[in-house]
Amino acid sequence: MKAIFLTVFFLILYAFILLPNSADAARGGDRCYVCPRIEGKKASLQFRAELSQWQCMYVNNGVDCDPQVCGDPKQEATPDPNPGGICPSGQSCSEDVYTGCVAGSPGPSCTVSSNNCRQSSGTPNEGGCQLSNACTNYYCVEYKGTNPYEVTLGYANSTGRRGICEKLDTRPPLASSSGPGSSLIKDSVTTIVGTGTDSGKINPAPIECKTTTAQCLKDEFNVILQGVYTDDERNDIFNILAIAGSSSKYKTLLKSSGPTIFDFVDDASKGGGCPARVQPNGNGTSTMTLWNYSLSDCDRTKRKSRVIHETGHVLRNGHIRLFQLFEARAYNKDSGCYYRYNPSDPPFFIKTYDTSFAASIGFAPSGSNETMAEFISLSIVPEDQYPEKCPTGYRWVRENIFGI
Amino acid sequence: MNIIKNFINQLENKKLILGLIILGVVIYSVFMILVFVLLSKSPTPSTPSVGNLEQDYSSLNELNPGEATIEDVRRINGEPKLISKKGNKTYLYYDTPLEGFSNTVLIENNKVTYSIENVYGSYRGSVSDYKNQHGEPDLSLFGNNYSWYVYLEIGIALQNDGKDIGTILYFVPQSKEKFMSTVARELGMTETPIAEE
Repeated sequence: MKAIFLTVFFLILYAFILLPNSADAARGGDRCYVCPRIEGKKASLQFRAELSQWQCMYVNNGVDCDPQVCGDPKQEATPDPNPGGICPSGQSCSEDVYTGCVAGSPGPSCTVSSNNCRQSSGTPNEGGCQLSNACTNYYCVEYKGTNPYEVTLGYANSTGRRGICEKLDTRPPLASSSGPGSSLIKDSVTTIVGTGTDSGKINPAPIECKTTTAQCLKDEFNVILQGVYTDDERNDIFNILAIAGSSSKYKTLLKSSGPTIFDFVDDASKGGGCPARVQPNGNGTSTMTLWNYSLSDCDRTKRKSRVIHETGHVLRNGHIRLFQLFEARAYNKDSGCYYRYNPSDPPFFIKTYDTSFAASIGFAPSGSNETMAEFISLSIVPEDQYPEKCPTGYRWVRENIFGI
Repeated sequence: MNIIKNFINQLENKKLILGLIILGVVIYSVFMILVFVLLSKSPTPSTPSVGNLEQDYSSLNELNPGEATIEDVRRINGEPKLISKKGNKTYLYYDTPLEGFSNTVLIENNKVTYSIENVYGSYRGSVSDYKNQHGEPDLSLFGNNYSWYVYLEIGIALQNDGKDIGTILYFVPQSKEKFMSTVARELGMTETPIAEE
């Protein structure tokens, strides 16, 4: 009799104490978790409540940030078969040492240069993408529209251009200083927002300036020019904004983001091709710097495309709610339209955006920010069937920026 | 006669014992089933609806950083969607009505160090509301190229576009030096903006 009661008692004790403990172990407890080694990255551990699983999260070495923000979840963590053991790093295997607790041999490595490459082969130090058995099909490319062209050492040296390392199924055609790889954006002279097959075109109602151009820029767009510029250049800015501003919604958004300073600067070190940037001033307003606007290679189409792109940043800086919605509902929704600045990490950029200028000055652009600005610009100056190729982003920008 | 009585008694005892065993097995089985059912149910993460963005969907503003524990966070704001550990830091992540945006709570030594709450409507007030109530911010920083207005004494920082608040950071009130070397550093807040090309 006693034996039976003792048996039942211990069985109940087992259910009360041991089972909940094993569940704890499954959620972490003192078990040792081992994240598979990934070259160039360090692991951290996260618990996914919806899956009831621990997972490994990776961030690049040298990056000190919240792993959820800059992390790259790869796979589930594998519980060590010897809880309480010693990690390969020599540290005691508790739940707090997972970052140093990596298992197994490194295996064949695949280090891919992130950007700014000059050729596909060779190490990153040589400007290459370091092709190896473990990382095949990486090519140094630059995009023109949606098409990648392989950047070679000769092309890079003769043009000063740099590419990005991308994994492609087949080797792309070579970029050539006289071939299609070097073609510039065509001036389609299309200035009506919503051009294409969509029915909801806006009527381009020209904005007339009845006073001085400077006054009209202030009154219509809340834009103030400064720096060194000619009358023609001032008129040019007004005409460009008037094209996009034929959408009253765009005009209202730009106006309410201001006052915006357009600063004309001549600086030979910035080169040609209408380089420009936008800097926030701290209260929702922005300053746009337009370098070398008077150079001959800053032609009409480039000016239009660039200035309207930059106003996308101005709109973004002045309207945080709008940008939240863009990021959540429009950004990176049409996978074929985007590429990765760094092949192994976000952020994603729309393929018409060239990151090489930013890369050449060591600047890491924001994927969502640049993409929204590109969508706005492409809505005025389409390129290679963009933005129509990205229907989600295109629709969103038409509705929310241009009010179509 | 005695032999017969003893036999009946023994038979009754055996029945009793048998009955007890069966009862024990049944109770144990029912108990085990309950235990397994309860264990197989993971806590349901709190997931706000995507509907009305003007609706206050979060309770992170009710937590006192420096005092609130992880249990307080779970009690007040629900189960997180994700828990991440990095050294002695534990991050709790909560879904928000907008895809890709999550609210974050950082726990250190079982106390909330800070929490980050995305704001999609006017339910937390505007920049001018804060300025009217608390004056000009102690610090004006940049993060993701929006301004962060930092009120060090009340432990609140507002990411904003000059009018609307997009994100609120709740932190332990502290000096500028400490804030800049810890929270601002971790969250990538800088004193100068980064240009967009």
